[in-house]
Amino acid sequence: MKISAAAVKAFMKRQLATEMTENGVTELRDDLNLVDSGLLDSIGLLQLVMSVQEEFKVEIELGEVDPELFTTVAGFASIVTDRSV
Amino acid sequence: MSAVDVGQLAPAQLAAYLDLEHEASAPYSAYVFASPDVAKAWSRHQLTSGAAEFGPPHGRAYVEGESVVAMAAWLNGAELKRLRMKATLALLKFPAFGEDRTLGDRIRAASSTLLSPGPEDMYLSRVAVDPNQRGQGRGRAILDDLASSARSRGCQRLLLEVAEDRAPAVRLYERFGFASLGVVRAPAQPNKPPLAYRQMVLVL
Repeated sequence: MKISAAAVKAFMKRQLATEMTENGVTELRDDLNLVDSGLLDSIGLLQLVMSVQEEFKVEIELGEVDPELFTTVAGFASIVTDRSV
Repeated sequence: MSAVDVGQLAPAQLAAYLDLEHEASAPYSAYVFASPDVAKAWSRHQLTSGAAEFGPPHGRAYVEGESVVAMAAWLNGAELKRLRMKATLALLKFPAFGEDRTLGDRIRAASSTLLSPGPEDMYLSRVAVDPNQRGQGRGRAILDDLASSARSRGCQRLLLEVAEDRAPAVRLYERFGFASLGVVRAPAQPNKPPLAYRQMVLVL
């Protein structure tokens, strides 16, 4: 099943709700940098990757993907939607 | 004993340096990784990804003649934060991460025992002396080197974690003036040895 970017973003918003409140972030805009905004540290990123794999039953293996994609909202969502068929 | 940046080591010296790094991180590795071989592969992977806390310019080998007799790695809190993020990205490309679904869980569990130093803090990430070279004051000499480097960089504190069961190392730090912040235990994992770190601080 094809996963929509909106579904991934909604999931991210639920997962990051606490961090968003703590950092005064109200919306996950596409170009928001998850790291610079303070929403994700290294373990937070690991946690998000693991929970998104569980939720959407996708295997995220980077291969040739630029790892920096993981640090923005749109980039993170695209990695998940690109893995679904 | 002279200090050499890890980037300047000959291949045989780098191998000796990595053996000491493996020794330094053995308690963490035994808790997190499926085997010592996976732990060693992860060290190499971090190094080639530029994500290693013990890579250049943070890692330093202590050399006598041509032999690496000790190693240490230290960095400030801002550098540490940046490298840990890089290491997480490198982890996603590490083959064992895709093959072992429990590895990520154990890395998250182990992270609860680790300090979060600030930008003004110098963090001692690894330190190891060759087992055949102990009892000669090398640990003390390394700490002198680290403390003076940290002071010259304007750092306020030196922070470290040491495995609670490494009594000689804990004594070395206490004699040097480190104070204990307490012992933090990682949650128990099936078929894994327990992980307990004493967190310590030296005000410079």
